[in-house]
Amino acid sequence: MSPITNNTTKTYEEINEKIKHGDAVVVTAEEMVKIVEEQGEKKAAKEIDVVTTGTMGAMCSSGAFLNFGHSDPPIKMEQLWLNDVEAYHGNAAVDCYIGATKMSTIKPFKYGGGHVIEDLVSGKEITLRARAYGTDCYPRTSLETTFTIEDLNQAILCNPRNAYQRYNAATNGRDETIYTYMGKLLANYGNVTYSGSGCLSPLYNDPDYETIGIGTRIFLGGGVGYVIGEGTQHNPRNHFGTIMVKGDLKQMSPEYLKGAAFTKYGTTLYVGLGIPIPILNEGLARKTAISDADITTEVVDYGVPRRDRPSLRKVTYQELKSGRIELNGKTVKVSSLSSLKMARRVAQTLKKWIEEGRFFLSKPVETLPTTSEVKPMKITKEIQYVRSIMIPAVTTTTEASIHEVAKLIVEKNVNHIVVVDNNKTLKGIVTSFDITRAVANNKEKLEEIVVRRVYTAKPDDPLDAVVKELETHKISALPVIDEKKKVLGIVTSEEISKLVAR
Amino acid sequence: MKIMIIFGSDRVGEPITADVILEKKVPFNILTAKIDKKGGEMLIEAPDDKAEELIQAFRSRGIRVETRKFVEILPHKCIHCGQCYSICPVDAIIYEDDKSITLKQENCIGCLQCIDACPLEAITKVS
Repeated sequence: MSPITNNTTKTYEEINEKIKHGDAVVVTAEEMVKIVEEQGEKKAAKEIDVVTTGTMGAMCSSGAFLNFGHSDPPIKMEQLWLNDVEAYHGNAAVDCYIGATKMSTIKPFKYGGGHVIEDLVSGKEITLRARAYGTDCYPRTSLETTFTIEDLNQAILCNPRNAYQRYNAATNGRDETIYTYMGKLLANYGNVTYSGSGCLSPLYNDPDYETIGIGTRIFLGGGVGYVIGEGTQHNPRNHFGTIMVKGDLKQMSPEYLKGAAFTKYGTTLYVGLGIPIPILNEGLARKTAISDADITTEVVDYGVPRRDRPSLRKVTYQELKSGRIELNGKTVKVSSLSSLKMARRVAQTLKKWIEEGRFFLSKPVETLPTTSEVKPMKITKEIQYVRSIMIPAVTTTTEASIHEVAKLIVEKNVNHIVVVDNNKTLKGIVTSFDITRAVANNKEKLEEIVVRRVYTAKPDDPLDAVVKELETHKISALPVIDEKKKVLGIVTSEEISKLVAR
Repeated sequence: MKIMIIFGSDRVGEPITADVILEKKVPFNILTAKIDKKGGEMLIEAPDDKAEELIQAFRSRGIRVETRKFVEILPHKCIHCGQCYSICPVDAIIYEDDKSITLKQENCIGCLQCIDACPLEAITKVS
């Protein structure tokens, strides 16, 4: 971490005074890279007053507190739905929290809390359904009505974790396409996706959080918001900082709050967010000049269904933004999941607000922590992995005859024969039914019927992932292989059933 | 230029494609082909200056020819993230210099892989 420089050249008050008179010099973080490169940080620190940043990405940890006012007769809602999306109610009678990832009971994976928030901000009518157990003071037990954002007392966007400083880039080493919160990832490392705006990243422009903390006034969803502290999973030591933010939803715009649905993953909310960085000293001039080439992240294999996924390589945001990177000796296309175009628009809009004297900077009451760490979840009951349930596979080679394989099935009393070459490398699989069908069709050679497209498992895959794979493809066993496709064993639905029976 | 050739079950057995190539002496790429006993669809890529000639040659043999769009990006829904960009196998979806996403219809082969990649439901199939 770079040292905090205390050679103050300006104060918040001086900068705000300049903003008031329309004299403040404001540039975006992208523009600042060039300015410092050409003029040096000393001159830039004197001339530039504020650097604006921006990002607009899918931020699942988002939601809004709403207060409906009291009905007559009054109700203490126990369960409620907004456009069929359940909102959290564990507070007072007519307060609720609508979370971005909660999905509609009618249209799951298509419409969710993020869409409700976008519809609210758009001024659309929302249907509220609620039920309650009824009390002496709140006698009503059910309610159905419609409302718009204007009818609410408060509508407060309050996001526990936004604006990740940077994020992992994602790829997929499996031999099938997967659908994740990092988007659609093609088989065999077919593409890469990433998130974050690189040199425009709000937290990366003040990586020691000299100016960001509780009370920092920001651009949030097209309106004015505030940082209200560190975000959940804030991880400053390795530059994965996050912030918790709030803002008045009634001032915001649907242009910067977009409900989204990731196929087979679920719903979320795209949030436009920008932080103004006051250039109080030379250190901040230098830090806000950070370029895409200076920000690195890892390309991580999301095909591995575990928390700690292997990294394939380091990569800079400059490389990611170019649209293509090298991966395992091949050139693959790279998608951004957050919108760079909108990130620029956020930074430009915030710049305009400050230039026009409509937005003033605020000094945080307390800055974000710089040393906290993120811990993994403590697990008291271990789950099962493939390693603990796999059994030795009965194998044969492609040269075998149908008759020989049939004998093997009977002798070994199994349903699956794994086909390998002389090095035990996976070549295919046949089931007892395949053999029955081959006999009925007068086939003689195994190579005529062997299934070569085989779904597989790795020893460290969790059993849940195996069960999902078996169900998805309507099959009853997966050969277990290592990185080089060498067969280590087999995991079968019979063995999994035994676990349940235990 | 991409041209879609559509024929019914009664024409599946005829060597129409070969006929047209031999007659016009114009080589073209077959990009996709779906043919079964109910008929078929074949997407071909023809040199721009010969496209009209080929279209006429197919039509004179009673074959339906379309030069159509497969997908469209809805401008009011797209936020220009670019998740679709890396899914596209033929560079029909590109980032402009200002980081806008645009669809180059002339490159699209209609694989439709981009549709379920879009988190904003901004890409629709053109029927």
